[in-house]
Amino acid sequence: MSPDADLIVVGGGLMGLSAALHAAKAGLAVVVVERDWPGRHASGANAGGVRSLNRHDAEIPLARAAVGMWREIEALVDDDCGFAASGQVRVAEDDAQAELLQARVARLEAMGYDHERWIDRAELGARVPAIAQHCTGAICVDDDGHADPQRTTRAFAAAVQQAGVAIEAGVTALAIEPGGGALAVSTATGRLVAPLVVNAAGAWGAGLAGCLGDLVPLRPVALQMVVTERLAPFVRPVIGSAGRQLSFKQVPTGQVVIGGGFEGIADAATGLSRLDHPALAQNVANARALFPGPLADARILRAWAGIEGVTADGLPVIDRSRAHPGLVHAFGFSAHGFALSPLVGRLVVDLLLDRPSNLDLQPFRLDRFP
Amino acid sequence: MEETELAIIGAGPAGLTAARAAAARGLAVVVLDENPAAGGQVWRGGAGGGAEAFARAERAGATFRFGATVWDVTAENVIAWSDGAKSRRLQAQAILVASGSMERPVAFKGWTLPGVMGVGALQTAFKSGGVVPAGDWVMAGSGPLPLLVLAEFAAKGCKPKAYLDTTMRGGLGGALPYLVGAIGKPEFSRGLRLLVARALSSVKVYRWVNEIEALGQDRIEAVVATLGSGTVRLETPLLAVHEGVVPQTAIARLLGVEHRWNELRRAFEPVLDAHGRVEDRMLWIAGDGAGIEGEASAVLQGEIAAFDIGHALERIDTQTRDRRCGWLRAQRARQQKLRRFIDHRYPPPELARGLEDEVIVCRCERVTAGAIRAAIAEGATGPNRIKTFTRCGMGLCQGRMCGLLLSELTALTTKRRMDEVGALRIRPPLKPVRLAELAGLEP
Ligand SMILES: Cc1cc2nc3c(=O)[nH]c(=O)nc-3n(C[C@H](O)[C@H](O)[C@H](O)COP(=O)(O)OP(=O)(O)OC[C@H]3O[C@@H](n4cnc5c(N)ncnc54)[C@H](O)[C@@H]3O)c2cc1C
Repeated sequence: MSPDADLIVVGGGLMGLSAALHAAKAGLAVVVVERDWPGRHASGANAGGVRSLNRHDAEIPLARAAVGMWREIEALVDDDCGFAASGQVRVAEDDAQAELLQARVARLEAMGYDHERWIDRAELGARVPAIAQHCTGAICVDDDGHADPQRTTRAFAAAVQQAGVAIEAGVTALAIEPGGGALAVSTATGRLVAPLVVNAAGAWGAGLAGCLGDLVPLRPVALQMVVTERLAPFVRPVIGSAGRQLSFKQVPTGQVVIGGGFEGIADAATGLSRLDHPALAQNVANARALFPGPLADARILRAWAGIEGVTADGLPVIDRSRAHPGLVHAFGFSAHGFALSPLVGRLVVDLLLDRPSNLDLQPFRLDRFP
Repeated sequence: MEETELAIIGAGPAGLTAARAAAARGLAVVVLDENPAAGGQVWRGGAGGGAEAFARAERAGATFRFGATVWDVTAENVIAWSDGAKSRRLQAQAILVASGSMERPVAFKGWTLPGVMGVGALQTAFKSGGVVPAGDWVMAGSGPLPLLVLAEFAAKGCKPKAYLDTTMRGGLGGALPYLVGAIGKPEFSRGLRLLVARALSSVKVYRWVNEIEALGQDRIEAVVATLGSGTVRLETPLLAVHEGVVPQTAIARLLGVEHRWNELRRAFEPVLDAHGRVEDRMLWIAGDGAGIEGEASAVLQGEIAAFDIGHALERIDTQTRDRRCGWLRAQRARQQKLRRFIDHRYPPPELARGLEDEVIVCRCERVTAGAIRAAIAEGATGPNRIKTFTRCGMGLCQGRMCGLLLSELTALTTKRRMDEVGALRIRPPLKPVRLAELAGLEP
């Protein structure tokens, strides 16, 4: 059977789109199959945080490289994606938390990293005047920031199409099967064949990987977000806390976007999700605890939950299939993949084309799961 | 969490009737309404049968919560609502959505200028405070409501400068309101017909208006109407517009209820069985929210739903339900016949046809028809994707205003059927809710 493309990418989230873009730039003929539409799930529903702050050690090199790419994102996709290097700040709300955060900075310094630093109460107050008085200090990364997820997925989709890639929206990959030295992606309307396939199916990635015996413990999770009406500007950096679950930012419209990993109810089969009210209330209460003033009368316009795949160890899978060398998995970004997405496509293409990479992908291998 | 057997959202004709009928049969009933008092739209302020229906429902034992803004309803029949200070939740075995209709959102050049409003909103202000416009004003639109408001306001000595009648030429068309009573069973009682006729006789009426435009800097200063014979310009600080009403479908949409496009009424309507029940769910919809049939039908639907709910909760046996509902449904069929007449008499406008690129579709986020067409050209072929491309429907009103127009514009531009295009996905909160109210959610 003659191949339909050099590469078939399953999943039109940011990981799939980024892989398609980097592959097309490397000269491959690419087809993306997306069950719904590009950015329908985690990539369009997330908080837009571009964060290297407080990353898992294994992800720090990736996050730092990705932050560098965000600064030049326009060169990659011809749009600034709403990226603002606003900084990210993780506050300590008492002395014990302050100690932990300072210890983290010291540990990173010993590892040779200098992107995270400690700021004391005075500096925090100067940077974030609206922050609650009880915060004792914070760690921060100055060149972190945030981008607009909708705009980003739209820009990536446009860039991918510009590069000649066909995005087949509304097409579900039912299985990936090896055969005749190539790989076949079966869909309701037929089979697509290519020597190379990328599985970037997000929360549904483990299902497809499982067809080939690549077993990944992955849980589809619905993560809740809340957005307020437009408010006068009162905070520039993205705010988190060592003491409570929270991600908090004010975007250019003036709206405040609040999240932090509170779970709703995910129905992976339909792709729909529902909210959990007490979790929503707790999330909002956490935000109010840090910004009591500006949020006193603010109204919530919209709440939603986006479905994301979370692995057993909270790290993604970025690895070649054990069953077929032409298949690369990139899924399970466990609630922090948005920031990495411009880079992940490049890493995936490095794996596909056997190009050397300067980043260590060992922690993201399949075989860490027995 | 508070629990009840039946929760009813909306205390208009359908909700009040159902509350009385269900409570009278021993069901624990809680009625939630965001208004400060019972009545809904037509019975606002106790008008019509409102005061009596409310009193009877209360006497039967139904509990009422006014000023209750419902902001989420879940598939498990949990209603999250806010009393203005705090959010609460109510777990119901059965839910009846009786949240009524809303004015069909119409867009034309200048419609977002202050001073342009819905006839329904004007009537609401009148009913809740007796306020009528002082000074010049102009009414534009089609359907029974503008005529009714003309009559109501005329009784207060308040007349518009002109009525721009947009009822379309052809079909049973716009000539008929002026020959009221000539054929069939008209939409008004004889007494009201006289009042309407009298009010119309003293108002300047422009017929066959096919386009209007509001002009002004910071607010409306004039309206220009295009008629078959040319244009007229009327200076006015107030323009009240009305093109009929459509079901308020937000709660049903939120709950994933299937909707179908009714071409005659140009509206989405939820798919229900003969008792108003959503298949396989402990969920019922009655009144205008199920499809616009008016007050009398809403009362009947409320009662039908109450019997079916009583039956589902094993308080009423099948025979009793079927006997009562058989009679009620026959009554409703009569109302439906009447409604078909009105539907033909005032054919609703195609909102998107001829819409100029510069006309604003989403007022909250100031998204124009042109921006939406551009998003479609870029590949956003459904309302939800267009929303993410353009922010249309992301503002304070959550797409309540622009949703229908967005779907119609999408269908027209992409040459697809409305059922295929569908509608904006509804996200909670249904109405904006303060963080403080949410944070204070009762456990
Ligand atoms: C609420 C929320 C907030 C978040 N906040 C942040 C943040 O602030 N910062 C950050 O860095 N990260 C954040 N994340 C995580 C980030 O959004 C994800 O890690 C990232 O978007 C994952 O991208 P993806 O392409 O793997 O997944 P997705 O965007 O979910 O894409 C997977 C795609 O695959 C498609 N698909 C699935 N199965 C099939 C199939 N069989 N055939 C065809 N197509 C299929 C799906 O339809 C989907 O479009 C957040 C996530 C959520 C949900």
